[in-house]
Amino acid sequence: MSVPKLFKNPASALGLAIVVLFYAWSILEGTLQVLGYALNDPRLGWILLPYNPFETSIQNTLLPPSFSHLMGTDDLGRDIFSRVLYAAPIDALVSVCVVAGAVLIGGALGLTAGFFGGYADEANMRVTDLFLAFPALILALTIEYTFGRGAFYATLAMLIVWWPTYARLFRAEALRIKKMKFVDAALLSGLSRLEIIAKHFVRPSLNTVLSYFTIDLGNVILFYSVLSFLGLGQQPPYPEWGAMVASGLNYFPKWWWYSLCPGIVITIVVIGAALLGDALRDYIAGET
Amino acid sequence: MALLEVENLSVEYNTKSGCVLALRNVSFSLDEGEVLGIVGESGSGKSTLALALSGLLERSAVIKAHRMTFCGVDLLGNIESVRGTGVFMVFQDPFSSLNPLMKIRQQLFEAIKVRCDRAKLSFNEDEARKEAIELLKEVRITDPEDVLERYPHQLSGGQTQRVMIAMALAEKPKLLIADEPTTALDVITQAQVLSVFKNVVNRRHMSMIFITHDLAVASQICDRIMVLYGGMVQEMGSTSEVLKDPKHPYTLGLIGSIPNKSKEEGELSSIKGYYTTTGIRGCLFSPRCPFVREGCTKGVPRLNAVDGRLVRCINYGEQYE
Amino acid sequence: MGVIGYIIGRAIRSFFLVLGVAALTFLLTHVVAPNPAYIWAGPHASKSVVQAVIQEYKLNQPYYVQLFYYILSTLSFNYGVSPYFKEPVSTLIATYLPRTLEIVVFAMVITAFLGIYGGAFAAAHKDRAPDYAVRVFYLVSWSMPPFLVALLLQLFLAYELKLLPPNLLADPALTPPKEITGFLLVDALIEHDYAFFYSALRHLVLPTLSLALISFGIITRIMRSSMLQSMRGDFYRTAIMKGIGRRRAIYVHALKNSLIPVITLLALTFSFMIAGSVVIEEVFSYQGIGYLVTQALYNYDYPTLVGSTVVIAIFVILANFVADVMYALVDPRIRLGGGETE
Repeated sequence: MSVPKLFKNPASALGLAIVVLFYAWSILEGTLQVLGYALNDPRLGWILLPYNPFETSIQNTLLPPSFSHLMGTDDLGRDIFSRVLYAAPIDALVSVCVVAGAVLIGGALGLTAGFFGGYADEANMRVTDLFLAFPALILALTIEYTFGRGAFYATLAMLIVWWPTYARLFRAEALRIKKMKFVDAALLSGLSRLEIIAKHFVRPSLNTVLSYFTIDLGNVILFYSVLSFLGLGQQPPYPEWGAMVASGLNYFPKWWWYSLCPGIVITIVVIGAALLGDALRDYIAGET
Repeated sequence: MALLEVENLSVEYNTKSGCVLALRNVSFSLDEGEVLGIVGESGSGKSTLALALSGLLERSAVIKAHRMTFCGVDLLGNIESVRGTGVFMVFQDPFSSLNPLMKIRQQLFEAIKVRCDRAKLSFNEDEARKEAIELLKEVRITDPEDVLERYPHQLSGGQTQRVMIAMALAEKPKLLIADEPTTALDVITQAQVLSVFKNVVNRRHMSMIFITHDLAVASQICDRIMVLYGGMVQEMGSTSEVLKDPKHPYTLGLIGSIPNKSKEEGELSSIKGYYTTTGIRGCLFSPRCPFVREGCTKGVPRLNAVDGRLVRCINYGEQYE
Repeated sequence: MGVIGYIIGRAIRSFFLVLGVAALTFLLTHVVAPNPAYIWAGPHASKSVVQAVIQEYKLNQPYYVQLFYYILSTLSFNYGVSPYFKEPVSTLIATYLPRTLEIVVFAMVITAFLGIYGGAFAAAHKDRAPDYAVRVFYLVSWSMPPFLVALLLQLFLAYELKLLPPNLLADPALTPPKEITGFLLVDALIEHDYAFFYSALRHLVLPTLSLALISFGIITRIMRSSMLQSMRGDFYRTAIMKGIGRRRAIYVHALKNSLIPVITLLALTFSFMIAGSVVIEEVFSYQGIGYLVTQALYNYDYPTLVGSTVVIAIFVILANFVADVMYALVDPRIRLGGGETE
């Protein structure tokens, strides 16, 4: 099955479109924000947006969604749509950092544990057991509280609760690959064990983990939105999806759009990642 | 009237990589009390045939047949009404064919209950228990009371396969289909289970379709043998004749593969090459056939009647489909 | 050996996990934490309070002494005094946790039912409309942030249709029953306070539904694939072959066999729900353990946060242990031992 054929399936195509749109926009908008910061001209950050996401306006507070304000305005009269778009890059960055970091840590530990077996494997299993005994959110909250609040510490906390799952996944992969004949052949050919892991284990296991990785981008965004909802993300006035929902709670249900619109945007991105991940899984399953 | 009549049965699998024709125009009939052996390599379509007859093919499979009737019932549409009490199938892997979470008693009772329901009889636990014990004795299980209260994982492979036969008998089917029922067992158990099959079929005057890749096993139990290759019947005739005087080169090769039949001095003569049916013109066996000649690739040979049996080979008349 | 040995083995493992949880939280809160004394005392604590905290938690002692006392107090359910609530943390948890367990238990029942039957139903209709409907439903509910699920339910069921109260534990006009078990419904029944029981029950519906909706998706998904795997098994084909009918073969034979991986998953769901309660209870102002955690977070109350984290982890370990025992009871291959495949 070829890649273009894969995306003939409407659900897969939708997933791809959402994910590409989200990350492409995030890169563009993120670059502008960084550039604006570097050039000391923050206006660059909202040059593409319909409104300045920080500009308050007393006449325009809590306007319902309309053509001029697609998602309405908040209690300070700021355009919610602009704020949602402005907040996208931070979620994109956090999701990639957490999943990539978890793949690196979990991959290194899981592959070596699975390959060497014995005590290394036992230690890996017990330590991951321990981390998985905590509800991820609760552990992340405590970690972030201990170190400090904000996107950076949120990423750190998520990384700490995220890697054990990948260590488990890569371990299972290592056990699977280890059973294959070519590993014995490679051992006989005199390659060192670490070389064998690097040469023969990393690529094939990444293949299998790829679909999981994609779905997980969505999971991280979901998780981060909860942290941000609880006030542990970027601190105000910097807009953030979860935090916007939380501040909208005071105006719910009468001014429902304040909370619901950012929430729905999160849902759409997460669905996109899940659909794309499923499509990739089917694709990889069809290849092997 | 024949018990089972199959005319031009074809089965196609629609997979992502395209269509695979698993069975092509297979026709045969089976009389009451007759045992038909279906012999072929893995991939020859023999399991597909068994699954088609019992209506267990997956939904991606397309079945076409001019006729497929069992006791006058059309199997293509009304398989549900003859399942169990009419046709019963025993599978290859004894360890996975019973429900691991139910006791043998519960699983046998279920079968007995289906028969009672169909015959509009009332189901009685005590009678069912007596019957179940009788059935287990009939398949030569030595401690039936004990086995009834066990779970499948507590039985050996041979015992499990006997329980499967007992379950079949519980429904009193007219036709038993056995798909490689002894392949997963060791040699001694294999012989015991085979003799149980033989015994049961004889005593109950049941018909049976016995599927195997092992011609030696087939020869011990079957009245007639059908040799399949590439989803097509290559040769069909009575067991003794086919074994004594194989006509099709493939049958010859299969007989050559039986260890104790090989000549004293000779090594095992087995068939050269690997089983494949893709990209072959004419006779599907031609790439591996020791007697291949020019005419073999002209077209698919027709299934001809030769000496009271059917052979698909141009050495017995150069006719094509 | 048998089932008793298996259960004892699991119990020992669980106990070591609890010790591990204590060690890990110790490492986090005493060793790697920057300025443990200030974190424990809270941001606005005076010098004397910080000194008292150092004395209380023995922060000036060597780490092994600290660890010893930490594990000791963890096992004796002593988590210090909350600087915000001015009450012992264990008392707070004893008050707030049962309320959450109450909604979690109901939500688990709904989740298990929805997940198991939804998954089985989807598998039975693979690649047809009901299958797609179930899959879309769980994909969407799984992809929604918990607060959105809660808000939507609150909006429609409470504010629009006015079927249910939108927030709080019970009608504030009613006096709550004396705290005996901490479980509101149970206490109301013990006190024969049926008005309060009814009110608490009504207030419990929305949080319960929200928890069930955010967590049934994973069970449905695993159940569906587990069912599909069972339905490829020979025992399923045998069941069909017997003529017992497709319905019985699916919903009795295949379903029972597919439940085994789901049991382990239910323990995971428990963990997921407790975490979800932090957000859900915030939306519904439902004063359970999740509410306690958010209050601790907002008011810089470290002892309460850490104490709740440890107790919640212990409950999750307990839930896993229960799942392991159930697993052994359901599967005769473990219960009776001697499986050839084991």
